[in-house]
Amino acid sequence: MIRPMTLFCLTLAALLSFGLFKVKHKVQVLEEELTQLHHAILTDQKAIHVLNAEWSYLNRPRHLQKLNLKFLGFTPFSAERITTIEELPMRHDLASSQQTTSDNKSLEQSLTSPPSHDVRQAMLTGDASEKDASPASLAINTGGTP
Amino acid sequence: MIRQNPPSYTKGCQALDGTAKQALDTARNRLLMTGALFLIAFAVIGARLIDLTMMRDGHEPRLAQAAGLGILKKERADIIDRRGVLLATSLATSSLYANSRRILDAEEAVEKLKSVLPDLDEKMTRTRLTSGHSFVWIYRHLTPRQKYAVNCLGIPGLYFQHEESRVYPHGNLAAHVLGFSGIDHHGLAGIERSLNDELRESSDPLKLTLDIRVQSILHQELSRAREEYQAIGGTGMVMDAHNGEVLALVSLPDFDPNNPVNINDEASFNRATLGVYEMGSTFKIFTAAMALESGTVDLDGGYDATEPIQIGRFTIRDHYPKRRWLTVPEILIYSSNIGAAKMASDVGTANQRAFLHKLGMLSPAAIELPEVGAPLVPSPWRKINTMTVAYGHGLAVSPIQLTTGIATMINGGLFYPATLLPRVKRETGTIERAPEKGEPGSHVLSPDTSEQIRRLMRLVVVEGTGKRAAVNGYLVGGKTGTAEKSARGGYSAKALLSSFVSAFPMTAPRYVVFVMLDEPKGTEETFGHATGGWVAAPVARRIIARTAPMLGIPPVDENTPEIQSEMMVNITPRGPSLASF
Repeated sequence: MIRPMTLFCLTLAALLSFGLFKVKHKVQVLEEELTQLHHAILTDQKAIHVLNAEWSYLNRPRHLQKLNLKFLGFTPFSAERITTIEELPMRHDLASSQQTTSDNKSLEQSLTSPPSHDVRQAMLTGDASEKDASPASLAINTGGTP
Repeated sequence: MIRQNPPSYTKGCQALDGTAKQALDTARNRLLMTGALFLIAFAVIGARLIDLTMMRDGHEPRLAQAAGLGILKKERADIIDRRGVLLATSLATSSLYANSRRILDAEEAVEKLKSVLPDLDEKMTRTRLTSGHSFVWIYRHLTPRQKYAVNCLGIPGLYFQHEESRVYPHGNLAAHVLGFSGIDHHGLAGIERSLNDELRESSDPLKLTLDIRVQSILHQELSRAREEYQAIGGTGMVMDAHNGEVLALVSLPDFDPNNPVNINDEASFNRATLGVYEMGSTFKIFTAAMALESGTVDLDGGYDATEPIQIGRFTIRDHYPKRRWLTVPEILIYSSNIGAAKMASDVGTANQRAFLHKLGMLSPAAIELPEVGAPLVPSPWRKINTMTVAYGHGLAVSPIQLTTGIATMINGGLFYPATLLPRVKRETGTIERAPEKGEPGSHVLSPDTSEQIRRLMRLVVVEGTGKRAAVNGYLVGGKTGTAEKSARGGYSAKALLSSFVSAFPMTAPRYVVFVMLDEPKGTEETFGHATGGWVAAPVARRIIARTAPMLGIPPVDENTPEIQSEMMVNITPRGPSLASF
């Protein structure tokens, strides 16, 4: 005769051991996956490490200079070609249009647009009076490249 | 331990006699006791289970960490420059070894290996392969391509061993700063040696104060000048005037640290820190600063440089004698030895010695390199020494000491020992180590004197011997130095040490640039001159012109009245006012 309490305990034990097996199996699978991932990370780290060294090697200043002379021809620029934004002459018609138009939208636009936009526009459509400014703005463009 | 029985029991067990009843009672009691013990044990286990499963505390490692997420372990930490450019790293390589007992045909193996490793030592390899040892090195540090080629040969008995080799991607560019490390990962020179322990222990990169762009420019310009003037060597450095951080340091000839076997003594000698030289006229800046600081003379004062000074068996004369009374600015412009000697002897030997000591000229430089030369200090320090040291003879210091001294002269008078490690903690994740020796920021000069020295140095470039160093827009100031190298029993007029020390911009100096060429020969372009003003100053000019925009120094219009007045010095000779006495 099996008492209900024993039956309950046996069922519980069976359920628990099954559950434990499931969890353990899942953990094993996950652990395997984790080990693989760690391995992959380590491999990647090694690769990144080698690539870093290569990046530094390829970026030797002398090497870059050689490439520059071959393809770009940039030369060190002199101090006269560096100036501040404030010292650049404003474009005349742009300045006058800003004064005459009372349209809120255009004023907002001109305020939100970055100053470099104005400078570039002035450079592109510059008239004779802005000719002296062009080498300076050119220096801003090429100034970023070492 | 026998309890009083409850009355309800005794009622139902009337039939039992005394002994049987007692035995039953004892059994029941024992059972109860055991049960209680088990209950307690289960309770403890249950509590522990709850504690472990539900109330897990922080002591238990998380699974992700427990599985061992490996950070790439290296034998030595990387070295990076101030902007994070990799200067030295350790890369995994493979080395080829053999089990000579498993080699079937040594002759064939050598022949095959020679076809893929052209620089293999045939004879050595043959003896090793036939030695009968189970482990013999064949070739260390193969490139991946070579490894592939060796694998393709399919020779039995050859194996690969994983190793690490130190790689310097920039080659000889910063050779004397970085140094090199040996095959067993021990630093043997430079920073690799002086910070060996830090590099071995840490996995974080070591950050230096070098800027590889500036270093490259310095190296290039110095190499060019060395070639042009056929100098036997050269050295140069760029230093931050406000904290002593070295942005670039070059000593020529140099070496490729990737190939430490082929380094000869001449190439490994660090002229910037290990070499000590009599610097010549650049020392006159110190003399002038000392005199102005002590108040023995002011900028309008001067000395009579008409006649050479005769002291003992020595004669102190000028290279370009003016044969008249010279003001202090003129003494620097024309680099008058007589004027400097008189200036120093007015200040006195004890004061001069104390001043130079404060400037770090009498003790080895504090830079974090093992190759540091001790200065050659005159002993005893007599009056004649005071006079010669005033114009840079009789006291030999290393170029880094001089540069540190000049930085002190112009930055407002604060002495910062030269360093290769960043003083300010800039980023986390790098080794930060405060420089040890010296007291950073100790006062040597008053800001006023420093300002006067700035004017004087600017004047030398505008009016004097340093004209060839001028870069329009960057307010370069400097001082030339030409020292005759001491030969046996005196000085040789043929062998010169030509140097130029400069700083820019002179209104608020940021960087000190030092250039020195060892035994330069004059060319047609320099009209045969090989002095500091002719050969070293143009190098400084090119370095400043190229680095200043890179370092973010805004150029100024040198002709504006504000700057003119800020840099103005009255140099007109007052005439021999002493004669009116």
